[in-house]
Amino acid sequence: MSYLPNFSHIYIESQVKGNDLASQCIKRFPRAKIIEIIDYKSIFNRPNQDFQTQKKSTKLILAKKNPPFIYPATDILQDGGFRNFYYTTPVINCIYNCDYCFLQGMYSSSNIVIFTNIEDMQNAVHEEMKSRPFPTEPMMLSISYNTDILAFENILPLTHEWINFANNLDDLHLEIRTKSAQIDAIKDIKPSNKILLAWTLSPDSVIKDHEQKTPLFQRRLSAIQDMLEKGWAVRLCFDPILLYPDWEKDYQHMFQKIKDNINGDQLFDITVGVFRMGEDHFHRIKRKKPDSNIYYNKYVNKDGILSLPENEKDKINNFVLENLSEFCSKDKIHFWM
Amino acid sequence: MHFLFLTALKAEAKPIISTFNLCKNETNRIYSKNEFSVFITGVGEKKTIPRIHQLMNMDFKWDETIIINIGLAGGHPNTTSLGECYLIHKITKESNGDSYFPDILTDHDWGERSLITANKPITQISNDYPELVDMESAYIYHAMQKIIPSHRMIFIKIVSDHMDIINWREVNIENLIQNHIISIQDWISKNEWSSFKDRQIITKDELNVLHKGFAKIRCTIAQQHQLIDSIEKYKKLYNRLPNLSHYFEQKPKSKSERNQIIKKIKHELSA
Repeated sequence: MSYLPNFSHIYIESQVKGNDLASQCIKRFPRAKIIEIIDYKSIFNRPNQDFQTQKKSTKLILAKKNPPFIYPATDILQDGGFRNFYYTTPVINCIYNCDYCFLQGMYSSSNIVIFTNIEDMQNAVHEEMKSRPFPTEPMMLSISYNTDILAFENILPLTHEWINFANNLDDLHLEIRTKSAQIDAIKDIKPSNKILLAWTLSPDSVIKDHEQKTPLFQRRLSAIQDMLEKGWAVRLCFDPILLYPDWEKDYQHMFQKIKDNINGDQLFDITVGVFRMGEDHFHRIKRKKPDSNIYYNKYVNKDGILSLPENEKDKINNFVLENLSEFCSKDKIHFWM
Repeated sequence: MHFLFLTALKAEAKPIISTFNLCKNETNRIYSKNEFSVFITGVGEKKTIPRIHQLMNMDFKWDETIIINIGLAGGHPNTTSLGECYLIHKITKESNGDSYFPDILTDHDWGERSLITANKPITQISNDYPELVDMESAYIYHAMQKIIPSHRMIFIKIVSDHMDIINWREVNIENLIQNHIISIQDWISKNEWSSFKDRQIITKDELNVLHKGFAKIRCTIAQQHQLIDSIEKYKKLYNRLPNLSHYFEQKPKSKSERNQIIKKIKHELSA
């Protein structure tokens, strides 16, 4: 006996049967058991589920999203200087399993929900653009807040679909935050500076210890090089930078590789962050006794957000500036501490 | 891991009892030996619900128990075969339409079907029951989900009839179960199940020792929680429990003395 492969079961709401995206998804997994459900919440929000145990064999849920379709950004999300900053949730949960991810505290299930009514979400974006608070400034929409949507591209071409949508609207910018190296799926699209590909980078030691199932650093770096060469806007995210014995050595090594392979002037910007999490999510994760040591470090609670003490944040801040200030101009480095 | 089989009938339990050499405990009517137990729920809602509640109040290691409901079920002739064994991925309670979904995370060789828990025996083929039908599963899931997570509830059904039984006495219940007991035994004997236990940092035995110490120094419940939290953190970082026995040697004479001891423990743990 072994664990079933991911997506061995697909739960589908009766109302989305026959929907294009739902059909594509089912075709993609011909051996999956298809189970019809009335409402995705009846499986996704079941009591007494275990997020990490379900990660051993993640199931797919195809559903219709009800309003609201887009949300104003929260304080924890980096806005990168955009004042009309929103996020949408075409997918809930992720194929990766990062120890520091808030999704474990936000949802009781790690099964992945795909909302197939993408047109409703896009119509809502249209509407929101008309009433955005700063009408002379563009709207920035994050489509990968509750997932890594690019990592999903070989399952469903959602990123492709959203990029095409944004490219047809003058004032809509997209942020696609990812750890994926799957860029082939969007290579055929004409590069646009309205689409910000934001790669989270970590040293391999961090990837191995805390970012399960994600591509190693070199694969992410190659994807970044490729997309920069093609003229895409790329943001590098060092978020979170984790502290552990000899962390400086690993991060310094990673920064050096980046400097050796990428021209900093070509980057849109760099964002830097430390581990931070809303206290509710943090305690919900901790109650499940996670294997990761991250939840047993010392944090400071400031306005309901748990994060590193100020002196440690300063240490990281100085370390990053020391290492990256000659790589690109300081005003391109944003700290989220 | 502890495997607790639930059956509606004694006849369904018999092959399990003999396969695992289980003995009856006359007080709680549970058959058990080592990590296997059987509990008989009775047939239908009226018998199952009180019996399951009785079971839930028993002193089991629920955090490492897997519930396996094994029983006979009626099957639709278009979707099921007589005598065949199926794993259930969806259970619907006919009375109110509520659905329950046991997580199926491990590989298996059986077919999978959905099941409807009906209020009465179904004796006529109908499209209202497109796959399987029984009279207990939904009640078991509904009650037990309070203490057992969805990945530790398993429902295995063997098709006894195509909803056309006239005389139940003609059905060889034991045989129907017996035919699949080896494959079930093989399935549950694999190592993967051990990863389904609730994760723990401090083991139950360690916790018992700590609680004795806390009682000695008369910790309040809130103080116990705080100390456990700090001790978990310590164990996570150093992979062993701190030695606190010297703090538990003498009973404090006053609240302030107790608070001083707790302060010292916290200080030691945070250092």
